[in-house]
Amino acid sequence: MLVLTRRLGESICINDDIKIVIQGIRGHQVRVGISAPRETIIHREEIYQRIQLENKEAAKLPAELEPMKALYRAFKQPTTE
Amino acid sequence: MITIKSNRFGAIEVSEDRVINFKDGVLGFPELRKFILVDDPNDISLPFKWLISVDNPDLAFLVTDPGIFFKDYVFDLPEEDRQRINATTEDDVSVIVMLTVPSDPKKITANLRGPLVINWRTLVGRNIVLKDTQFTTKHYIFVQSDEETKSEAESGKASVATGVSMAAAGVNASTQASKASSNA
Repeated sequence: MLVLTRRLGESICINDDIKIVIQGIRGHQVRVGISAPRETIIHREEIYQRIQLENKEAAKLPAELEPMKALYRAFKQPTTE
Repeated sequence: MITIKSNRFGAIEVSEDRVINFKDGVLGFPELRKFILVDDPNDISLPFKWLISVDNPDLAFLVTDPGIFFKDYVFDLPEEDRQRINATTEDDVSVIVMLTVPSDPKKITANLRGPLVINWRTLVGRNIVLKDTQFTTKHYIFVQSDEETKSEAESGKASVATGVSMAAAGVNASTQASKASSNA
């Protein structure tokens, strides 16, 4: 991993079209501004990880769907249980 | 036609034009690029389908149309994701969500934070991540008004969709969910 030290207000350029600016530093928090083309996908890493974990959990499949049928019938007609 | 063999489903024959290309895989499984979306071979009474990996058919996900369970599930498809699935109109986009089934099937949850969008015209799919939303990775589908789930929701483990209303104005691409609710 490339590691760079930057001061408040300084930037990093990636290719010709992505610019990352250090906008604020307070204690253990850093505020980062990112200018990038509209099609660039940018996310906080934690939410990506949460969805990766959930997808791995979802890949463990139930043995059978049978028990879900009654639940679905009850869901469709909540008043006629 | 191609034949997809797995332990769970046996041999499934599908036409090549039903194979969906996830260019970046699905989150957690970046190496799996091709999937098919099929009904359960033994049961079509449930509104679920299987998203089966063509590359590794023993890997599958139980998925559903979120509109069936969450009438208010609407989001703006981000421009960067729209471009990646080559969607030009709303009608290009259909949305499914993955289900996680714990040992108690009553507590099946839908991942509304990381839905899958599919363009059936170009056969391109993408696992997207919603930003700035109150939807989470775990929403109960069957027991949305149950007291037990409410308390879990409050503790932050899960959240119920009842009463959720997203800003629907200026929607770039409505989901199947929003179509379903407007038809209802």
